[in-house]
Amino acid sequence: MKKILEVQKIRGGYETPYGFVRAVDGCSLVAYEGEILGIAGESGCGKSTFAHLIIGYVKPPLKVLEGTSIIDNTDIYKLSWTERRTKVWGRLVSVIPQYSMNSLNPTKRIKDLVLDVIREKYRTPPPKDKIIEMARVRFEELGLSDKVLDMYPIELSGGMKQRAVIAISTLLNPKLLIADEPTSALDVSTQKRLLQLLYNLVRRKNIVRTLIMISHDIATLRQICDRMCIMYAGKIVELASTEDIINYPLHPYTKGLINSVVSIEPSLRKKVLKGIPGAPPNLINPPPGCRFHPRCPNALPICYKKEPPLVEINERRYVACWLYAET
Amino acid sequence: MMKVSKTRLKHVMGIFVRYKKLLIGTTLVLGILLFCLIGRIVYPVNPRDIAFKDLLPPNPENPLGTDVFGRDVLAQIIHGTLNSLRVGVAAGLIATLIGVIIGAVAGYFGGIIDEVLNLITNTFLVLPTLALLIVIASYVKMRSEWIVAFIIGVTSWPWTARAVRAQVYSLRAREFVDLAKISGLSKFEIIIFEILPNMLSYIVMCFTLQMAGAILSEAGLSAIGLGPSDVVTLGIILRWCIVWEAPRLGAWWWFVPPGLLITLIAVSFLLLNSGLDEIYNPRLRRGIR
Amino acid sequence: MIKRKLKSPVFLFLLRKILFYVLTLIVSLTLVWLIPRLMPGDPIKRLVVSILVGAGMGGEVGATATATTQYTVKQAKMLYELYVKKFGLDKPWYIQYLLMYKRLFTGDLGKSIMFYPEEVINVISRALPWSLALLVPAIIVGWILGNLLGAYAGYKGGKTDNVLYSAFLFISQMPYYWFALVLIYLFAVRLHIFPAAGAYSVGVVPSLSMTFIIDFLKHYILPFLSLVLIIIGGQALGMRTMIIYELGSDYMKYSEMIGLSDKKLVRYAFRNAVLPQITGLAISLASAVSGQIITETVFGYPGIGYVMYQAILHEDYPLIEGSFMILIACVLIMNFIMDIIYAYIDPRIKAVYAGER
Repeated sequence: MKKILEVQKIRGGYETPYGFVRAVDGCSLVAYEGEILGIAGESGCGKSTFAHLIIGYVKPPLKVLEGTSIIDNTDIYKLSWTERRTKVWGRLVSVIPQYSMNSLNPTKRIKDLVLDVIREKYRTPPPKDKIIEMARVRFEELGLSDKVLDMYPIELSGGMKQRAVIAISTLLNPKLLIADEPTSALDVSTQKRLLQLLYNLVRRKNIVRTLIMISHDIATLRQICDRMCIMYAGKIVELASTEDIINYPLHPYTKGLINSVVSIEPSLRKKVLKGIPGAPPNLINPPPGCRFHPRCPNALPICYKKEPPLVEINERRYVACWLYAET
Repeated sequence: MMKVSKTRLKHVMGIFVRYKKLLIGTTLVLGILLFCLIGRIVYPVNPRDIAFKDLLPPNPENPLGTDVFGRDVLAQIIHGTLNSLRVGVAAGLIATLIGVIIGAVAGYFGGIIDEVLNLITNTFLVLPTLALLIVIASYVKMRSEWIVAFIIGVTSWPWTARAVRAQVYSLRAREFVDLAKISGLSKFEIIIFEILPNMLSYIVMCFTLQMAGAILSEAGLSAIGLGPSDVVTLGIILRWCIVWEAPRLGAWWWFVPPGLLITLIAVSFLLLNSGLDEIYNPRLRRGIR
Repeated sequence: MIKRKLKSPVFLFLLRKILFYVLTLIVSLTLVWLIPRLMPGDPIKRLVVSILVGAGMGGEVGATATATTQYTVKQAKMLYELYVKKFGLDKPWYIQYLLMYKRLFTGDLGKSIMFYPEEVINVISRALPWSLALLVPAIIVGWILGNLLGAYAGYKGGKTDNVLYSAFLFISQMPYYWFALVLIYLFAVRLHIFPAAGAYSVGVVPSLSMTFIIDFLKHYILPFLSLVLIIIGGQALGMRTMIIYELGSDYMKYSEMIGLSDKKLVRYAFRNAVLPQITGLAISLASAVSGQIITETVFGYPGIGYVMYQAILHEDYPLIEGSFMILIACVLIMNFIMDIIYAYIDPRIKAVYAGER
């Protein structure tokens, strides 16, 4: 399968008055064309920062220290900011940001944003009515009536705004779509419809080729993702197919996450809910060795001293844990 | 009583170093305070002393020259600044107090009370306060500095009221208020002991704004002759400058310093305000390392 | 058809606004009416004394009065009764209150003491155009230039921003009249370029002639500058903050992430930042008017501020109250216009009121 995204050892973080926050500390990731990949982890583990680093949207106080990100054979960090903006963002890769409710300019109608986005991409843009027509078709495909185009963001509901943002982000059919916590601010039934929409975008309608979805909620991710990547304290701790993650988790953190989620399946109903004791570490001064060791029930002496590398266990199955790696 | 630990002190100092506006603002305010408090000790000239040397430009004996009556300008500035500050602080406190009360009540109770208070606030916001001050002050013949401060305070509170109302309105929907309600606190107890302490920093910011405005208001009132009749403030000095046509007499050393000082006082309080704003509103931070 | 029109959101909005301003007017008028009556002492007595002593620069009383003119107690009493009747002070207070409105609507604001027997309304209507000629251009120019400069500083950031910010801060806090003194000293006394006082030279008659216009402009520049520069400072400060705030908002991030150009982004931010500045202008109008009052006195510029100042000096209470009322009315009208403009421009307000249907 063709690689659409290859991230190598990317390190970046935030300059704050208290020090440098190491939000993403050496993460590598590969995504293949046609798949739906999930990135899971608790709040503050660096998922959103990771997304910014992947597409190269790095603005102070965010700083990238090292690493590469190659999207569809384009090396992002070899391009200038303007090149990224004109050639990459919106075309190769598009982002649906967190809290997309606030992502729409409150004083512009939806169609104005559509016009601006399209006109930006073409040297000789098509005429206005053609653009609106194309937009109408696309909006309808995503379940939005064409009246939406003439409205202001304030007139739309939360779910509609979400869909409008998805529609605008995918207007140019980007190869890769990154959705950052798309379902967090919605009620359960809207969540389900949105997940369906995202799934269809990739599998049924072929509007985008690959989807990366970021969420703190494994239960949500599990419904549409083929593979899942678990992040903790700025590091990727496990990467495997959804089935393997849910049913045969390897990393102690992943195990903890799975055990703390309520499941309706009858076979698991007798399961006792357990949490993970402790709290995520301070990212300005993270603990030495494995970042999870203070909370890990299976910590070995080496875990206190050396960071475990991300090791390939099986085909496309990676874990970063001394339990499974050679010292 | 909590002990201030070393790290906490270092933390506070760190904030000052990084937030430039806060640093400069505080330095200016302290500098001005030092100037007028220590000034009278370091430069013990009586501002009311009339020597028979009128309108002397700056010279070794009178660093800022003398005015049309032969009084030393520097001495007047030192005393005048302190008086101006006193009026400003008093007016600022009154305005902040009224503003906080009205804003908190409007924000917390909502409904009709909110609508009515909003109406009153907007009314005062729209009126040119100086005009109102003129009408009031022209009828009050004996204006002590406290009366002037009172009049200014009572007409300049709308800003604070509006700001406080917005804050209280958003705070009242938070969980700690629900908790307080459940524990049986009365509405007023909730406002005073739960909501306002959370907004202390915000109230301080409002106070700095009121101070800056009060200083300028006093200057304006005094310029027309409606300032305090018992003390000499910077505004009163400027009034003499106007009446005796200081520019025409070429006495720049007489009218430039008081106005400069008024501007500096207002600027330093605004810097304080901006600095505090940067701390609490990350979106406004610029050039923070 | 008419019923539908009556319920339209635009009409309701206008109604609300008009109601508010009428209310504000009533409150201010009540205050002007109330304050003299709350003060210790007898305002009519003061008035009569002022007239008898001939406190004033003109009028038939002033011209004929001297310090040694004796008035009989009987004459003083007659004048007193006359005025009590005139102001209706022998009637119950609520009648007096309503009488004030009647007098307002008939334009009878009383007779000025200073310019006795000239009507207050005449004095004011002579002075008002001069004030407006100064205030309106100063506000418009100050607003436009201030917003442009502020947006520039906010957008540029870095050293330019630091320098500009300090400049805006300092300029905006200068007392208007102090800056006027500085300008007078520099340009009138030192450099002799512009005149130091008045709106036109002695001996020149106001007319539409070229000589008058040039003369007027020469006198106009310094007062205008002293107002406009400080307004620019204030507006720039506000706009800079708004631009910085907008530049950091979520929709700006998103617009950039889907590839919109810098030019487009700046336009978005500017447009959204300018909208609240219209309201800001309405509020700074109050401070500008206050500043103008004093500036006029410094320049001896014959506007309504100067009139008020003279009235205070001479304890001409009818004039003080009359000019205050007219001043308030003007300010409220200007605020109302600005409110309408803002509501028309900001789509959020339009949408909210459309949604109320």
